[in-house]
Amino acid sequence: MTATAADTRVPGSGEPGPGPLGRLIAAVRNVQARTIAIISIVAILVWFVLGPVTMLVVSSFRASEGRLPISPGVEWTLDNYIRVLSNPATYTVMWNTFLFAAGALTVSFALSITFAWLIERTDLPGRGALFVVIIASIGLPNVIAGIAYALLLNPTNGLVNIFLRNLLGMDADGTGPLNAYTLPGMIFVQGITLVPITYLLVAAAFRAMDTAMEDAAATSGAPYRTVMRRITLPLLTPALLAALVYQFVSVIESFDIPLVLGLRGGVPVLSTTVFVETQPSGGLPNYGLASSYALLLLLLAIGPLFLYNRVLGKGDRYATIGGHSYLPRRVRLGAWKIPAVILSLTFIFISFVLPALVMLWTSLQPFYAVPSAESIARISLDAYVDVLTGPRLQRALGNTVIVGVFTGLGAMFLGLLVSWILVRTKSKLRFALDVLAFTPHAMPGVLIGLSVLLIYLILPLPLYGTIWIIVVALGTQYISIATRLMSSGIAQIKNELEEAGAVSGAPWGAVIRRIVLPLVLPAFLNGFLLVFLLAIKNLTLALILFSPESVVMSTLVWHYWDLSADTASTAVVGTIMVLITLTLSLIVRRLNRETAQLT
Amino acid sequence: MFLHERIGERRDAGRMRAHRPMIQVTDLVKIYETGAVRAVDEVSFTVNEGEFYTLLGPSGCGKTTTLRCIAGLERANAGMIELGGTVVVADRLFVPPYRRDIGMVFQSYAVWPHMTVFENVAFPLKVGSSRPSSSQMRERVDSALQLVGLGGYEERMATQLSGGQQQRLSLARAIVREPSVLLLDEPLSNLDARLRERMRGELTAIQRRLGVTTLFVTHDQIEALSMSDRIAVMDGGKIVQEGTPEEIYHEPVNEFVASFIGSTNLFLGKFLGRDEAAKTVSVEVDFGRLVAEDPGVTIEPDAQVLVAIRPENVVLHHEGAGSSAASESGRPNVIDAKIGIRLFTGNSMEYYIEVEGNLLQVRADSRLKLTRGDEVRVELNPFDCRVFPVHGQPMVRVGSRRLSALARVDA
Repeated sequence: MTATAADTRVPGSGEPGPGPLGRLIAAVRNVQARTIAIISIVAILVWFVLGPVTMLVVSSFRASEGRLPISPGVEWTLDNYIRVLSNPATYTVMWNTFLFAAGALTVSFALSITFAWLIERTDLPGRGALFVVIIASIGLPNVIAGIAYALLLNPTNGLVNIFLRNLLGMDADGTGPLNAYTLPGMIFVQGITLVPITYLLVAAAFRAMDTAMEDAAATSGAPYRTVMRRITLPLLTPALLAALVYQFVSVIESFDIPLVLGLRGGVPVLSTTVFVETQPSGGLPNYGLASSYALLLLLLAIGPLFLYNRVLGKGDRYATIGGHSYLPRRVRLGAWKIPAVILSLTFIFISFVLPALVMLWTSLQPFYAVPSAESIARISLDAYVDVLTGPRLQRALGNTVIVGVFTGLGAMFLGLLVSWILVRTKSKLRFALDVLAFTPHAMPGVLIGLSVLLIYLILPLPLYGTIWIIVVALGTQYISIATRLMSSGIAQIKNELEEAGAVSGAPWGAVIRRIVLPLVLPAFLNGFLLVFLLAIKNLTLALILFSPESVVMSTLVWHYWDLSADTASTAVVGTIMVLITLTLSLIVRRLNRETAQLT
Repeated sequence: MFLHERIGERRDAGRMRAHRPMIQVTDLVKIYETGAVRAVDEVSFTVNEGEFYTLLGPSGCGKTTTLRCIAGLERANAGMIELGGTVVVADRLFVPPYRRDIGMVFQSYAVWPHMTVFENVAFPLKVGSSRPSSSQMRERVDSALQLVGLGGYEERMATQLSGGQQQRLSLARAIVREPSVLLLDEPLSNLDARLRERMRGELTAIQRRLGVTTLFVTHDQIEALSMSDRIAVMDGGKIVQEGTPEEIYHEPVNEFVASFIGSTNLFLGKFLGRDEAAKTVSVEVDFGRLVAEDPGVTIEPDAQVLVAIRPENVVLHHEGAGSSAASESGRPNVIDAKIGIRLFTGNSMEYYIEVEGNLLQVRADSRLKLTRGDEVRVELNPFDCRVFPVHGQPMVRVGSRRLSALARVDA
């Protein structure tokens, strides 16, 4: 609406014409609906993203031992930082974190690059099945993977250890030879759980490459190894680096496996240190100290992200002209087929079959026992009956559904609006929105958990102790991924489609409702399911913000394992949870394929 | 010594042994795993030394697959390929691409973005079995770049070049090894129209100068007609006609070739009979009897046939239908008609003329200005009319029927 149109309307409605009040009314009327929408979305993001961070920074400067950071008698101080930086344990923790990250990334990238090459570029038999197993593993929650490997690899009665002791002729009642509760154990398990996402990133890089680049080298006289070394790898490098930095953030903030394996094994990393300061086993929480550790963690995570953005920014340099799209030529493995198949089967067995089997086996045993004639005779469904009829599981299931649905809806709606503004408008607030929506990606889960906890402990809003505080925290965590998913969804809808709606006489709201929404619905649904899956797998936030009222599946598993050491119940809840998340991950995969065909 | 001089010498030596086959493809078959369609179905052809040979056809006709089999980028299911007298594909033999004496230009150019212009062109020399000294290498890269007009760009990153320059770079890279066979996979299709026209000339000039045996794949009939020594028209994985550009254009062997290359008026009709003496046949079509050149194949009486005539071969008489009738009477294929639509294309005037409910496309002098509804006479020279027997369902273009309904003069 133009100013003239507003002016003519003001006298018509009998209000004072050119006076200051009239001008104000005209100005307000001038503001379009979309401007109001943009401003409110920015305000929402500021509240959910900047609010917690501000609270955390404030609290890191407060002498709040045993108390809330903002309460009478608490003073400003640098003490938290001095304590963190002067404590030699801090440097041990940071060194652990670094070794853990480097090790897990090495494991996951070595496996993912190998499998991506085998699946995308060779005639490996059964590559389709290998792909499905790798992707389905996204549905294996980390906390459950951690517990499963603890059952398999604990030094005293881990199944694999008992098997190995028999095989190697070692003392059957001894310990070892393997131990999950060590840094190498953590690295191994985390490395394997990072594989699915790493694989997707690496395989996408393989697929994005124009295979004519490789063909051109082959027809120039280069043998396959030279093509790999001189063409394929250099061209993949930017995408691989980007994937590496992306996964670095994931591993730095990783919490579940350091919690399950590292804390018992005496290998603290930064994320578990923050948690321990928040919920110490003895004494009162020290929020100020925890905040300082959390900010240290944030610093570690943010550094490489800058690098990541610079690498991404250079991505354009490699943009090339399209040609025919061929199915890439597949390398004939020949005699190498046998080792390749053995490697794939071993991976499937170790990363998927073994953890799933041990959970199932344990859930059928009244107490944890090695498979034998006696223990097979003891197989029973008692634990299932107990758990399924008990009130805890029912509450946890209900809460899990609430968490999944509302986190999914909240994050995706916000993501949809943010990405529409980012992709389609020329609003001056776009930059702020972009930064705000991206920030949670760099914010480790423990940091979000702690800051959300602080903010609702201090503010008189009735959220603390309810399931909704977990929804708020998870929504904050996943706004980045929701925005990213919706941005690519919206970018695929040609702007002309919206413009055609506008010139057909549809106002902005109608364009969004009648044109944009129906077209982005597949992407929205898909994103919703993905966020749903991520939210119900998440242990970090649910545990930091835990109250008996707000128990969900992930915290229930953890409490059975940690507090009551009840392996049968742990395994029952774990098995049920894996069934749910695995199904969801397969649905997401299927939808992904279908929408990919649509576009 | 410059590259073209060296290859030129080789070519002169080759001329002594005239028509030495450089590419020989015999009964090539390629079936893709997905879908049991034969992408290439028993294709055989020979390209002689120094020849510019084109595989022409619509997308999916198997031309690119054939080229990729020759390059070794696809494995054929059956057949034999010889390059420069060496068998590279046979029953149990498959020579990998890097051991074949070829250079190839890709549709997407495939210039390596992580290398400079110089490094791109030097790559084939560096990875080859006979690695030249660095001064020799520089000399050969320079002369290849000079030849394609990219001298002075050596230190640029490949991606800093424009599309046309990347295309030249890709060509320089393909010829720097002085391959015995140059393979071009739709190299001009990513260029804009003006640049494409210029590159047609340049590419042809470079090929003639080097005298390198060239296999060119395109779906663009103008590229094929203007650049080639010989053309093979492909359809459904088979070669349907092979010949010089003139033969392909003027003497198409079937309806597909006639309609794929250039524009053609096609009329469905009934075969009436032969005039052995005049070397003509007569066909009954919607608007009367047409006399056409004898196709030289046996056709049963009353069989369905198609008559094809190019728009530029239709003669327009417009002095008024009645007045000069005498001069045309007694000549075959003179028909009364009405002007439907006129399209001015610059170098010609295109008319869609209504002939008893049929629409005839006519290309006339651009200064000839007739308007809708004008009565004219068209004359079709019998030896410009080609007759094809129809096997199965004829592919008479529906588009022209719709246009004819729209353009009807009395509508």
